[in-house]
Amino acid sequence: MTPPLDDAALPNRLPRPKEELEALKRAWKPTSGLGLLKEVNNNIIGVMYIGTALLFFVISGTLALVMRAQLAVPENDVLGHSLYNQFFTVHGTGMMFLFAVPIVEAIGVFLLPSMLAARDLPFPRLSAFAFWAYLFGGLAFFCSLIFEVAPDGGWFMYPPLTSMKFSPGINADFWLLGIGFIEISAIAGAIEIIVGILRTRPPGMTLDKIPVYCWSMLVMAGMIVFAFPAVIIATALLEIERAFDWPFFIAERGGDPLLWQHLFWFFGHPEVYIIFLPAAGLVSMMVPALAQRPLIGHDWVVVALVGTGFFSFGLWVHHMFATGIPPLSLSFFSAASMAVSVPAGIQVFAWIATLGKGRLQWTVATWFLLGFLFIFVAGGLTGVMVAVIPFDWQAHDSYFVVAHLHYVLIGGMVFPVFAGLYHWWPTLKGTMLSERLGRWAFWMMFIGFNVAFFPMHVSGLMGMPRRVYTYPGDLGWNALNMVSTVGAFVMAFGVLLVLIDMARDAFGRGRPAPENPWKAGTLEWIPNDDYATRSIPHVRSLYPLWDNPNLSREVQEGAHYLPGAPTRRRETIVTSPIEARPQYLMPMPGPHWSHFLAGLFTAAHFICLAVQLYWVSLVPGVLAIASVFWWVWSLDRGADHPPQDVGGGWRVPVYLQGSENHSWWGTAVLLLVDGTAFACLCFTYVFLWTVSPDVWPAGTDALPGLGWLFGEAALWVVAAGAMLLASRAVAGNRSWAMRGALLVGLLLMLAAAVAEPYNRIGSGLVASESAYGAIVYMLASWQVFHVVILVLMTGLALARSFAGRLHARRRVTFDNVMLVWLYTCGQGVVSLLLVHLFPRLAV
Amino acid sequence: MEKTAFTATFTGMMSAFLIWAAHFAAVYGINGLICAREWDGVELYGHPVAVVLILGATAIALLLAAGVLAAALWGAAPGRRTSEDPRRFIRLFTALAAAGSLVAILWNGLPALQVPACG
Ligand code: HEM
Ligand SMILES: [Cu+2]
Repeated sequence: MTPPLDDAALPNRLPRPKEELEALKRAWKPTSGLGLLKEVNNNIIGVMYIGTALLFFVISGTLALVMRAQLAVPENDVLGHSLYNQFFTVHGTGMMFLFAVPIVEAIGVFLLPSMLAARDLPFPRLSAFAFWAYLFGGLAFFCSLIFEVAPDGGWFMYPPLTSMKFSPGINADFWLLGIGFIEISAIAGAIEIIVGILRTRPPGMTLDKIPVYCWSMLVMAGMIVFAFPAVIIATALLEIERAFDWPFFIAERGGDPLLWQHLFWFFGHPEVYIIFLPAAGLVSMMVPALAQRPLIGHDWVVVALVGTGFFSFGLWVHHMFATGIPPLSLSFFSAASMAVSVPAGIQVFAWIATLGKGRLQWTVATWFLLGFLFIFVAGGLTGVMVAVIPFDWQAHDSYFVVAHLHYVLIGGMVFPVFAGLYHWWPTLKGTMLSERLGRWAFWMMFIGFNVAFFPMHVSGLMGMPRRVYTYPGDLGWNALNMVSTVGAFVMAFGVLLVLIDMARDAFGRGRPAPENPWKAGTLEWIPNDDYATRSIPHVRSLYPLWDNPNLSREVQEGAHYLPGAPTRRRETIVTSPIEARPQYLMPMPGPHWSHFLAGLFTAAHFICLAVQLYWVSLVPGVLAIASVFWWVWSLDRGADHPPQDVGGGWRVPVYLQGSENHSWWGTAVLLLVDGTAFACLCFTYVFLWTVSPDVWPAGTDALPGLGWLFGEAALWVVAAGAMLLASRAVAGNRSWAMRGALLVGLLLMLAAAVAEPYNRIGSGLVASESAYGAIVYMLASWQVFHVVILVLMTGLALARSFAGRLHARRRVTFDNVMLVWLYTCGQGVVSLLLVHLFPRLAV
Repeated sequence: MEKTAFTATFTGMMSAFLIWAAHFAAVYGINGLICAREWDGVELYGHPVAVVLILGATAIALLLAAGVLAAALWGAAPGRRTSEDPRRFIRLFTALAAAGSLVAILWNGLPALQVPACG
């Protein structure tokens, strides 16, 4: 007999009424069969998301094996030249964009809510949409290989190799449109993760008690917000160049291929850390659990994570050391590249110290972690080597770099992810993977990996270049390549064993796991169901389960916050971002078809664009927009219930307007993405000017008069004013005044957006003639694009207003439109100042 | 009320890293511009213009980061309006970030003394 729990200090009194649990179960009951497509619950989406990422890993890995088979012996002809190029491009792209980033986000979708004891992430439909868009887009991308129209310009797609002149087919378009749109899914996930970590923590989990993994995900999501827009802008520019001949990257007309490299690597280097930091976060959670003691230097590790996030943005040019950039500029990046290894070192020391001081449990995860430490440290050392500029000139584009990058990527993320797979598997459905198979898998992967990639350092130093499909037999590389190929197959066999192990479990052959099998200290080990934990625990430390051995039982009996579903629907507690005090009860959308259809149609739209069915693409495009309307229509329900008791004396409202609302936060993060994209366009403008000032207008004659600048800017300012008036009208429930102000404002914005290209056409500027024309029209198009979005968003607000769903006490939708609107007006003014004043002031 | 506290606190915690980022962008931009415009022959106070501007920017950034460090150590750090629990962490975070950024800024600025600007 276990003694009854002492209820005096607990948030809710025990025992709980029986109906409470039933209501909770009913609200969170998953749909079955085809209904799976409608599902939004993070437990289900997370698993499908991880599964898809693993599938894409296997596909990309298979391509690598074929490449290795081709390279096993000299002058081989398994793959021809052009097919090899497609293979390494799809392999690299697939691994980076369709496996590595998605899987760390997928693990986050699965793991974060349970680590935060939230019932779900704040925007469940958004993560489901991101998943479906990713699945359909990814499948289409791989299918391009079957038709031999896969991109072949490398995963970094450097122009001019990828520009129309040298890649006339649709191969490059597949990359640009396919990947460009999967980035959007990554950004959707990032918004979800940021708002989730900041706003849906359990009561008491103040800033200092956030688990390291959540910090690492916060940093990763923040990095996505500031890095991905650069590659989205780059792909948009290249696609526009290919489709309309606007010369952004064509040197003869004032463009510059280096612009691509800047934008690409401004994303591409942080990308490596976007992949690595979440993996490091996983390690920082597994190490304490396996060593049975708190992580040594926790605060330092958190600072190191955030610092790495920042510093890694200062590294992009180290991929461009061989492009003729001035020496002092290079040395800034060389210095930053070496500096960034310090925070990584801090983490490695924290892990080793914790492992050394604790009583280590020897699980499969432990082995994978040790393998990770070994490989990652080796990869870090070769990284410091290539950060030395003269060495980089020597090793650049040789197999040494291939070896380095796989040591870092496979050591830094694949091994921790596999460790995590074994470690957190029991939280899935209470079964364990096989320790024996897992150990075999580890050794085959570890040995196979080193046998495959260590020799590449040597062959690289012996002069073997990367991205060659074959080589003559008399250069002394034969044995090294044969060994590499054998190693790659051994490693692949190890991966296969893991898949077999997972399949065994799926067919019911897994061992039942005890509750909390590794005796870990964090919340995800409290038994879970579709509704997450029965009640949301009050947190008092970093390892709540170690500090309160009763916690798990208290939570399961419903003694903590929100033990039921008081409003009879899916909901979770929103807490304040620093002190994690309960603020309101967030209703969560349930299963629905809309986000699934939106994902499907968005993918279809982009695929039509890629194969140049421009008119046909309009159909799925319109359907996708319609689905999104359907999706958001049922959100923003207003305060349809009185404030509810969640326990611990907290009585919280079920609706909050203004800047506390979670969707307001989501919109704010989205605008950070938008602002970064705009900053990239401004950078493009200034960069193209520094490289080809000769295509900029020499005097003011060729420029439109200043009257245009003042007139258009005035339109944007007045449009912003109209929005502020509309906002006042909402507050006073003057619906017609609001509708009028919105319409007038929209017309003013349309006029402003059209006036700019109109006056440029009038002054004789042609976009395809020079890089100057191209970027000026690009900035103007960017504003037009925003106004089109605002027409849709304002249309939604108006429709809601007519349906009686928008008024003074239910205005979250309106406030979000207002944010985007005001941002657009501000951006419009800045854009005008740049394009009208810069050529007048520049020397 | 906590919303404003959050924005201010969070920006405060990140301020040293943001100073680093601004410094980095500034020195890279300055040098890029000077070389692209072929102004590297110009002198300022008897030294190459790139060196003077970059060292100047570095000095300013170092002062700012040192200010953040001092504020964190003497308790004027962000988070004053929050309860004792997270405050200790916020101060430690700010101080460590400032110390790290100080070193990183110095390390980034020093090459200006040795490496020719445009070569
Ligand atoms: C399963 C084991 C793997 C093997 C055997 C393998 C093998 C290869 C080979 C043979 C190449 C082509 C090198 C060349 O021709 O220059 C390559 C390139 C590449 N791999 Fe892997 N790889 C593996 C896993 C991964 C993983 C897990 C990632 C990332 C997470 C990755 C990312 C890349 C990238 C980015 C490239 C460069 C592609 C390019 O140059 O465009 N690989 N790999
Ligand atoms: Cu890099």
